[in-house]
Amino acid sequence: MKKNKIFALSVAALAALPALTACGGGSSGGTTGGVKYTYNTYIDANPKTWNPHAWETSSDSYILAYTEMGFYDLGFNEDKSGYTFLCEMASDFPVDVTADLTPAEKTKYFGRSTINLPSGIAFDIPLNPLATWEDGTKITADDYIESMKRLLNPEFVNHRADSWYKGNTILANAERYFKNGQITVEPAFNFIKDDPNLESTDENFAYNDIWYANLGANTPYFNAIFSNPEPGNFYSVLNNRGSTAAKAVEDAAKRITQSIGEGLIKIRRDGVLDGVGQSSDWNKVETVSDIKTDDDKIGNMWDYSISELDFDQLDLKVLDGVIVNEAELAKDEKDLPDDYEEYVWEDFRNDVKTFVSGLGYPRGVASKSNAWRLPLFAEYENHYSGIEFENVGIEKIDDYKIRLIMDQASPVSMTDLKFSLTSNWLVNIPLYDKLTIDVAGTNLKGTKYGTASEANYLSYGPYRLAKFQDNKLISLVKNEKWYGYSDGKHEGQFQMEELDTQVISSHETAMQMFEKGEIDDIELTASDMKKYGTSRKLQFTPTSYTQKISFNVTRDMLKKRQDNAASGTHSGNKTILANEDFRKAFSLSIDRTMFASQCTAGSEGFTGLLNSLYISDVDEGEFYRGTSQGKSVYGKIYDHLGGSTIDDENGPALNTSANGYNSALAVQYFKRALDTEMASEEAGHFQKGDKIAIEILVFKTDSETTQASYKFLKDTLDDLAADVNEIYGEDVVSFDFFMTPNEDYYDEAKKGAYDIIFSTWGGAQMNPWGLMEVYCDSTFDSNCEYGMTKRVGKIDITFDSDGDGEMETNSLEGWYNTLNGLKEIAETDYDMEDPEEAERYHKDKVARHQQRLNILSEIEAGYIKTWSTAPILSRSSASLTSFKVKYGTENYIPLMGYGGVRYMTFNYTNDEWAQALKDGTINADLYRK
Amino acid sequence: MGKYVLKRLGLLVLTFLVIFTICFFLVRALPVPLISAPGSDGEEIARRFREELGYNDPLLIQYFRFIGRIFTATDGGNFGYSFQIQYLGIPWELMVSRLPPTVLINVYTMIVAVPIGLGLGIFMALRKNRPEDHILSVLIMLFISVPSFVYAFFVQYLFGTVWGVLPLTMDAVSRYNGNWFDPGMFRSMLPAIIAMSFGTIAGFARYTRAELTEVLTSDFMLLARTKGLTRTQATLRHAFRNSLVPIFPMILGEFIGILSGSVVIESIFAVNGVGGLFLESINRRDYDVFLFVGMFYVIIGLVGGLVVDLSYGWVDPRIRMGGKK
Repeated sequence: MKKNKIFALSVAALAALPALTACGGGSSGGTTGGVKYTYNTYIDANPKTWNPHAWETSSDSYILAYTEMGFYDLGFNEDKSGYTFLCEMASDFPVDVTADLTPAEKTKYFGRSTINLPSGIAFDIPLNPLATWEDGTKITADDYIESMKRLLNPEFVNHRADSWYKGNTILANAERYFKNGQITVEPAFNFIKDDPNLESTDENFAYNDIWYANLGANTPYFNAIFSNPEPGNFYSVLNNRGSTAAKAVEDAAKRITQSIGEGLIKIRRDGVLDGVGQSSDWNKVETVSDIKTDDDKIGNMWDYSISELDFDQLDLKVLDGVIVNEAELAKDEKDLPDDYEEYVWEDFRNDVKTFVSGLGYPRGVASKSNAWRLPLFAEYENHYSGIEFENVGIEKIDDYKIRLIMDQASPVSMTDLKFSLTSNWLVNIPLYDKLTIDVAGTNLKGTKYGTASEANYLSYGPYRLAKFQDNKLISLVKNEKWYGYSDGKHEGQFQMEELDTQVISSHETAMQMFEKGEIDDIELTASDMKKYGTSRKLQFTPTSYTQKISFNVTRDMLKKRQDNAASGTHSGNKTILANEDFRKAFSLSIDRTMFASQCTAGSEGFTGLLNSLYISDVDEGEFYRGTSQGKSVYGKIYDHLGGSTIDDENGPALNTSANGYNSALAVQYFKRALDTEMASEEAGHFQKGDKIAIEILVFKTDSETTQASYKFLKDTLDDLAADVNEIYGEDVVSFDFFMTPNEDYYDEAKKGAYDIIFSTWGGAQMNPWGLMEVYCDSTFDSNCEYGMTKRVGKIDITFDSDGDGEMETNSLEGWYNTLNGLKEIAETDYDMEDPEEAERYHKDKVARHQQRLNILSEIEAGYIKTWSTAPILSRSSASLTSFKVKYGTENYIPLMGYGGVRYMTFNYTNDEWAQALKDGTINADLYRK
Repeated sequence: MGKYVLKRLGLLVLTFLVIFTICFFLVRALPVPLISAPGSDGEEIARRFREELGYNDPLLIQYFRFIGRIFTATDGGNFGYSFQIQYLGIPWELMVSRLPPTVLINVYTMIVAVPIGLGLGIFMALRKNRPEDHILSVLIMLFISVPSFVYAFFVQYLFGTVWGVLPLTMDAVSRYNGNWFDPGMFRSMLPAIIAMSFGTIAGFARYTRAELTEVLTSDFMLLARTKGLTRTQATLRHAFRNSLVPIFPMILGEFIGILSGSVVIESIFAVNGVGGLFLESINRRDYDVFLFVGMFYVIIGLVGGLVVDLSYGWVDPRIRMGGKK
């Protein structure tokens, strides 16, 4: 009987198996027979969506790169030394038709029929009449118009919507349409300056009567008040008020700051505030002094609500005009004197009013009741009556021509437009709509277009999605309906017929597959380089990222950390990081070339902020690093270290090949730093025999690169200590260099809760000018060198920016503002038919461009010379490509890479490759040579 | 017995609700999911998204909204949506799509590993303290002590690269028209099955050996031999069946465990299973998916516990469930 029970149970369990495994199943796609050229590859993360309106990461856009095509694309120029624009989904380049806009069109898009528009506002784009969906349906202007309508649909809140209302290409009324009916948080200044009595005329403003002090973000009020817009956010202004301010203003500012510290401005949201801070940070603010010395704690917070309700819950007391911190009193075991006054909502309002009146008002606002709210933010219910999608700057001219109309204040250059149009917003409308759902429990709509299955997507590019198995397989095959295979303009391109991509997260597994010939490329790690570093199939792909060491340069914060760690395992001196000579020594002691070869796969030692990929002139294909100004940066930093030398024998210019490495000079600087610190009588400075405890925060400690980098720096510092001790003739100093994992290490750095980190930085290759915001904008909240945002307005640089022979002085931030105020000279501002004007244009253009380069290089050098950061590497990745294929070029070309799949050709057919693997003609050993 | 089962079921529901409530609040107390928008106005877009999804509401309101949605949603979003793993993915569908490879690999592993483990355990118990027992004991301790990823890589390297008899990774079922039982699919699962079997075999062998050794020295075994049973008869009919009392729930536990995936094994053999989904959901802060998968395992655990408890009485009639004192 019992035997039967066991048997019955086993049968039941096995019987359940097919039922369990039958759930879900896998997608079944069509197979492709007779394929000649298949490229096999892998990715390590699964795309969550490839909907062109909602994708976010590079994994998400992986499929789009093969299945879609922009209006224009980049192709090799004739000698394969650079790139040129090719027409793809457009049949020709855009035509500026601003001058041809009719009064009716002007009224439709700009509200006035008589408006004067600069050139660069309206463009006609002729569409490729051969373009079709993978099912053969023609793509016409209606598809583009309807796709844009869905991209900007306010109900969808599409992640990519802002591509067309922020940035270089701003379509007329796109933002208004997208935000229509939504509640957004807007600066009060924008509304009060136009209408000081806004309650009476704009009932949408302060919709829920919730006001915000967005302390960290730029508010246009401060920019309007200060001629040199240094402090652009509320907190900076509160904290950096001039010493000459009237006492009443000064006191008001103090009380505002203090009341914030006491919680008047209450965090409205739970958890992470837009990824830049956490509510728990607020809880760390215990005293007013915490706020004064640690503005990033506040500055990084995204929004706070001010409301009378919050204030009513407070119990603030004022003594002699200053808010008393009862916690501090209690800590000091002092009693609160009896003659205090309550600090109430009206007091706060009056203080802000006093403060604002001290700064000044825009014209016509001072006497109005709302004037005091100028620095604040409020919710705004966006109602733009009369704004429909028809008013958004895109229209159909005919079935194969569309017109894009930009915002009147944002004309766009032809080059920028073409770059913007290398991506596309096109979606298949019937499928998109069919997959649209109402997101349960919200007012949102969403679509599963381009998500989860090949059935949810239609391609119009060279390849179509044949199979998509979630987190496992992406199979792309040739889209036979693509115009490029038959239009005669793509001869010798897109030879690949099938792309088979597996999702493999284990590098070791991927490596074995590559060695067996199962996949055709593999990204290498530093240890792989030992095996394959000399391979003829090795390929380096530079990125626009620079890896640098970011130092905490704030002595107060370092001292706090030092004191807090005093009883811990890693106790020791940290304040020496605030000594510039020490940071110089640290930087000089790093052999960057060696670091790159030992710790990374393919990266190069580098001493600047902007690496060789940044383009300073897109039209001319000029690379910033190749300009005389770009080249001069190294000399500005390392020729006598910018004028700062210890003695003659140690102070010669560092050769560029040294890559900022000079161990002898490092020792000298280190000694000088130690001598200075030891001579100081202030508490917390380094003293003879102290151990210097430097913690490096890293994302994770188990990565091979991190381990190698840590070991390299540890050895470097130990050598530095040994060398300096040798000079002293005794053990004066030692290092305790240790690594701590912290997934939020960037946030910790922004708050100053670190000693050093590796920070990796980079951005749009075509905009090196704007990228300097990270280093020069005192309101930028993601600078990793803690304390530097406060200083950038005070670090002066003197040079002759425009070549007129006169030296000019400005702060780093001032130069940055100047740089971005100096736009490139536009042809449209000159009468080019007049030869003299045309000549003047060319002259001015060159002069302006040179001036911008001069400023950019001085800013770059100027910031590095603060030694708050030590650039180490220009990041590259190294990979092996199989013998099966050959890329279009062996030289990396910025924006084009090695030519990609467009120019890739096959050395082997699938059958030949299988045979070569079978008979051993192709084997793993071949890749080592 | 029926009353006891009902009582346990009632407690099970109550326990689940308590665990769900605690988990919900703990998960929602974590940093807000990384719903980010990459563009220049990403801040505002992300803010609206979070607002709409209710992440700015007090936790209690979020809780009741969640409960309310379970009963009111009509489009499958009853338990929320995935935004980070699969845009607008339904947690249930996501999990179900990842179950087949996990279940299959676990079941195949059990089919291979349990009999071998039991057999080895019996063999070692019968050969207790002999050289073969010592050798096997050392091997078993080795397989129990060494982390599974070590021999997973070893299996992969040996079978896949050196001998080239098995594929390095599990194949995509879409290559077999969605047929998980295709011989090609089975073959591609073998390395993972082999790698997972080592630990299970070692565990069962050790446990069986220990239990059987104890039973073999019992008085009733002496009685069985003295009444004329052969050693084999006595061992199989009396000793082994008695030793099964603690081992059988272990086998049941293994069956319940077939629904849970191994993160490491899945990563090495590129198995798109549930283990990876669970880890990914917390890494990417896809909280609705995390909560759903977490709660699914809570239910499995609770039901499993109940079944194991009830199985004691079924395996050994001397054990009575819910009997009056």
